[in-house]
Amino acid sequence: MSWGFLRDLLSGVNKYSTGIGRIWVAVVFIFRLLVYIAVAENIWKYEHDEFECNIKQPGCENVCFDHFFPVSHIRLWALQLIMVSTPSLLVVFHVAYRENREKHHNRKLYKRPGELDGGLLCTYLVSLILKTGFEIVFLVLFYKLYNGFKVPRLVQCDIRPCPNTVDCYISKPTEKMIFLYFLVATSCLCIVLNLSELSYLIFKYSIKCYLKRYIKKRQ
Amino acid sequence: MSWSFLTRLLEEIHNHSTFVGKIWLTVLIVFRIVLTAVGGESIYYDEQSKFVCNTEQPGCENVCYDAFAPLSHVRFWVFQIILVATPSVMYLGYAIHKIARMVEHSEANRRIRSKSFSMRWKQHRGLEETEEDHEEDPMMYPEVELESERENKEQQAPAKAKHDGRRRIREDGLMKIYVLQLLARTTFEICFLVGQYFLYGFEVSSMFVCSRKPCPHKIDCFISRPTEKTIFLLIMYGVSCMCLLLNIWEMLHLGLGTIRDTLNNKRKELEDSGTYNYPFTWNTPSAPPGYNIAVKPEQMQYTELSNAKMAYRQNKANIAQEQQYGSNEENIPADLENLQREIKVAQERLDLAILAYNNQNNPGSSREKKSKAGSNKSSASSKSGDGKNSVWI
Repeated sequence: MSWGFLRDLLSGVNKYSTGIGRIWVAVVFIFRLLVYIAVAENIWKYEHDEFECNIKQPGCENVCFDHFFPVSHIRLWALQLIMVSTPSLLVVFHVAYRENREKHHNRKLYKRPGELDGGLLCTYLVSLILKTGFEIVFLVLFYKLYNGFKVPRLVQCDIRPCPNTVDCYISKPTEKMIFLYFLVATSCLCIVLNLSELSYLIFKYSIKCYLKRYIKKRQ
Repeated sequence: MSWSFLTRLLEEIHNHSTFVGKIWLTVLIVFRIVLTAVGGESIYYDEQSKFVCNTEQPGCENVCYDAFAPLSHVRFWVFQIILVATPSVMYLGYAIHKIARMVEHSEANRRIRSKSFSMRWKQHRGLEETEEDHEEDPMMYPEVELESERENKEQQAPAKAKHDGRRRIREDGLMKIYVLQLLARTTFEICFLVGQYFLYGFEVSSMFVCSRKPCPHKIDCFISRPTEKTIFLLIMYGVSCMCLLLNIWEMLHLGLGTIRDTLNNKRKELEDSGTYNYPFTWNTPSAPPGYNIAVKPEQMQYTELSNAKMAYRQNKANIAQEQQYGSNEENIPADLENLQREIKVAQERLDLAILAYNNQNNPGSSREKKSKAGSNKSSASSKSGDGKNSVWI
């Protein structure tokens, strides 16, 4: 699985982050990406093969599995990781754009292209809001799709071509539930980190602005 | 599947792209390669083993699976990624080759040319030939040599063989090829989008009715994970469209910037040569008029003066062109001679004003770029002693 690029991307983002941003990168990296690759993938690896229904009718298992898992947990988890890391790209692009502009006009336009001020600060805040938004969207999606982060042991299914109501058994339900809760916990932690970073930045820059204006008034 | 080779190659391409090109590359890698690797391997690994048909007839399942999926989604996406990245890879090879040759060439020239200002013509050709011969040719561009101060820069510059940004690409004579690879990429993108629609539609159904031999009659076959596959199919459609839009944005970005740059160049070229060919079209960005790789473009500041001068020169060029080509009588105003006289006077005044302004504000800047002048004329673009501003004598 080629997560190498995501790893490089996150390390690149680290350069332009605040302190809390760096904690966020570490959390995503260690608690989410690493756990996903090392542990979670193997749990869900044979979910379809090990999904058994009490019937010999060909095709019934396929249909029942598809009905109960329209999108598998592990895919949603992977999608969430990708979508949540992507808004940081906006900041990287903005810095690249600034450097491009400096080269274009061939003089120093910014004190330091990577410094969080003006437009770059806006981009950073937008990326924070987007990240939080994506986290919340995915959490809600998980909740809606799987009835509140539960993984049942037994499900009953009566879709064509199953001839009657059939018992189907999910493999490793407890383990999957534990890791689902872990996913939810790290998501919430990341949301908290993002929100605190957001409020910290807004607070800091509004104080700065206020002080500037206050000094100007005095003069 | 090991994607590391392709990702490394793409990172190299990163160094030779414009700003929008870099965004396209990142989107390609993050959204397409990672998604295909993530989704492809895990969703489709059991697509044949879990493809179940309601029959015991041996061979029927194989035949029906083949009828259902002549080309698997994952293979299609992988093929798409490789083909869409290929023009960039070829451009990279060409760019590196060309830069290496320019470095050799500039080093060879440094030994034989004199310290004073000289000018020579450099032939610009396409992909097929990059050989240097000083014959006259329809597409020739003046290459202005710089004095000793700049030569030192040239020595250092070959060390950094990468270039990025629209301006550098133009300077190094790669604009044409860059645009070609951009067009190729866009064409591939569109072809694959259309092909994906005709092959797979927008949905993966959960049941497939099959009646090929040796299946005894119409039988139901069931596909594994159809909903998940549908969702991934739609996601990949979205990502393809996003890449297509980025390609279009890059084309616009190049096009508009090139128009602006070429207008910038026209302003400088327009000087005394009253009659010269003006083969200006907005989409011949090609060629670097031949500044060496070392020289960075230093742009004149856009002031009202510059704009006025630009407009004036444009007018003059138009008039010159009309004169040369002998356009219809009705287009030429009756008092053309008077107009031209007035324009000449105004031009001289403007020249002096701009010179004074430049010397005041930009003592060490603005080396203008030359435009693509006509081949038959040697435009008297000369450099003054300090080498920073050009003086149109």
